[in-house]
Amino acid sequence: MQAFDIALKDIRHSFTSLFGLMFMFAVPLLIVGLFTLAFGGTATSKQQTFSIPVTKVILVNLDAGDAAVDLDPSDTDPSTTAGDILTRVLASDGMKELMAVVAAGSAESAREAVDNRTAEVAVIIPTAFTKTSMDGVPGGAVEIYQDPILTLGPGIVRAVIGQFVDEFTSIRIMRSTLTASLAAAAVTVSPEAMAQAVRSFVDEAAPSETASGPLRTEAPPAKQQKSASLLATILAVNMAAMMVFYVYYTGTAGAESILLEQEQGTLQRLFSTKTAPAAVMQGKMLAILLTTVLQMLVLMLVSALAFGIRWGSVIPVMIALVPTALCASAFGIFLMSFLKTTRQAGVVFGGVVTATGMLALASVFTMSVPSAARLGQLAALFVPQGWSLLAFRQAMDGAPMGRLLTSAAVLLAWTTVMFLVGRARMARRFA
Amino acid sequence: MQDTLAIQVQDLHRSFGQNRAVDGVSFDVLRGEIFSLLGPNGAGKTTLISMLSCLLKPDSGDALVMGHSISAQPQHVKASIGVVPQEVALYSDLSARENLLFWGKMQGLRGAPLARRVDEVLEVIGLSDRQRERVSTYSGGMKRRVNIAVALLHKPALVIMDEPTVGIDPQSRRSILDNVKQLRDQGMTVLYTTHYMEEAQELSDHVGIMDHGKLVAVGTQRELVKSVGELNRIQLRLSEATDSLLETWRAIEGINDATSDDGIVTVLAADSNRALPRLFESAAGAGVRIVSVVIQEPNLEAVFLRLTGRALRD
Repeated sequence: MQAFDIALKDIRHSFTSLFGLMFMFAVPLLIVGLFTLAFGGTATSKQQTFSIPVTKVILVNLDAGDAAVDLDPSDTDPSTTAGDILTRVLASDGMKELMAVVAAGSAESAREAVDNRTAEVAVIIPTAFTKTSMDGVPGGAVEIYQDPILTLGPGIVRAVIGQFVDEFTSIRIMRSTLTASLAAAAVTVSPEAMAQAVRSFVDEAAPSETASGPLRTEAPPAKQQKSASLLATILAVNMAAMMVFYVYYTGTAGAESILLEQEQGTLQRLFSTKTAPAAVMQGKMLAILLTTVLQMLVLMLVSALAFGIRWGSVIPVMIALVPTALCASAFGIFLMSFLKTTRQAGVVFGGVVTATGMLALASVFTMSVPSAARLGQLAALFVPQGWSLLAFRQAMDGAPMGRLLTSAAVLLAWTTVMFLVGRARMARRFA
Repeated sequence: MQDTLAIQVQDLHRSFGQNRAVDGVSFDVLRGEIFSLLGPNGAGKTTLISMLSCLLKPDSGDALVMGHSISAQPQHVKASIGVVPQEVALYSDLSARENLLFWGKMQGLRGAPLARRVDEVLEVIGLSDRQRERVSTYSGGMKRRVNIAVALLHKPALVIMDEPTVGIDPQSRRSILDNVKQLRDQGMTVLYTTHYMEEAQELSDHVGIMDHGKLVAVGTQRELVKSVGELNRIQLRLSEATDSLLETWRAIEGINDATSDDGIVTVLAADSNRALPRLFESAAGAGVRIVSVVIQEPNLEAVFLRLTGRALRD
């Protein structure tokens, strides 16, 4: 029970220290925040699912049709033209996210609307559009009149119309090929039968005007998003690196409180109470452990909300987090067991913790340099921080559980060795 | 006999390298008394009480504290003592009340009894009205009082105080000395270390004088003074100091010496009450008027000087 009281007291001290809070939370988040600003944008889902502005289209359909062809069997009007179908496609629900179509009375008024910037694209369907589409008669090309400054919206309109025209071209080719083949085979087909064949082809091949239009804009699924976004990956790895780097600082700073209490005389006073010395040390270690766990949970939560960082599933993250907290605590106890004063601790912070932390970060610094990446990854594995970072990256990437457990096992091995050495040295000092 | 003893120290030794900090110390402390360890800085007092508090292991020897061996039963010893360290050992970012609650828990107190006890000790040290302020905002004297209160939370049978008045203002010092006497009045035993002779004289039932790791003398003040044969010092200002008068005084029975320095004559006598009438009588006979008289009884300072050859403040 006394161990919990000591731990609570230490945790309270850590979380009410401005300096401690800066190092635990503000600095790592600030670094990643600056990184995000430098590279423009965040890895949030909004950025991943880009949005295209709706293009204002003004359309004039002058198509006179082709008396020999009825293109729409579902329509009771036998004089449906290719221009009618194209108009319906462009104005369909499926296109509403891409374009807003308004009808114009003449080609001139349509062009004028673009000139006046009340519309971005004018689509002018000429009188011979059906004949050109079905019979190859020249002079029936669709005119796209656009604002020259714009590229994306007119490009989409052009792509949709191009697909539509291609479909009709394929119908024409099919029709002429079929007619020629039948003639060569001396097969006589009535005009009604040929019209029915064309209708069937149109029915199968022509662009639908229903919701499932010729273009779709959808966000890729989560896994593809992550791999697709280099920025998201860089941010996530950097956040994990900063978190690991500063968690080991916290572990060392937490252990430094043992030296601080020794200098203040409160440690000796604790040892003079009826509380067992083992309980005193357990309390100190519990405080370090809980502080590092809390630090990581807060950093992960805040970075997920602020930068859209995806840390992975709960269980893999916990497999990385718990051994990291244990290892950071043992790391602190180990280092502090070699020191006698808090002044010496300053050297350790500046030297050992930073140096080992930077070695672990070598795997991040070199990740975009193919020739150095392998060396960087190898160097990082010489320090416990490197294994912590590896475990978090594996959790983020959804690596196989076996690999993640291996990293966790190595971390626990580091923990065991450092804790045993540190405890033995501390016990000798405070015996 | 053991039931009447709070502490039995038996030939304790502790060295740090070549330095023999405590060198074969033995003494007893009775239950319910204030026992002062008097000695200059570096005499070994703190090392001795660190061993009695089970913070340091002796190289050899042992001590029984409230009947428990410091070597074999340290947890029993710790449960029966309250320790007031020389330096203030508190958490400065906590309030006085929070400190007392925390340290009470370390002594095994919980819940309502702990809260009540904290209220009681805050009342005793006179900090009830400022109990919720951070210790870092307190004066040195207030911190010292909280430092003492921590040791009293679990109502220990023995309170060990290591120079609790070092570096504080006279008012706080007075308050602490009064608190110490109150503890004795409540039946607690107090082991008190100091290098202030006045404190030892005011508080102590028994005094142990330490120097260079050794306990050079133990006893009541009267016993100590008597043991070194210390004399009363009578200082007289005369209308005229003549060599012949000093010779006359030296010849008086019960007067050991008479010297003159800058118009002040110092006479050493075993009993000032018997010596003074004779001094007045012979001075009148010589036609010399005694203008003023100061009688200085032998004290612990003099005892220390006599025993160690140097002053307590050296």
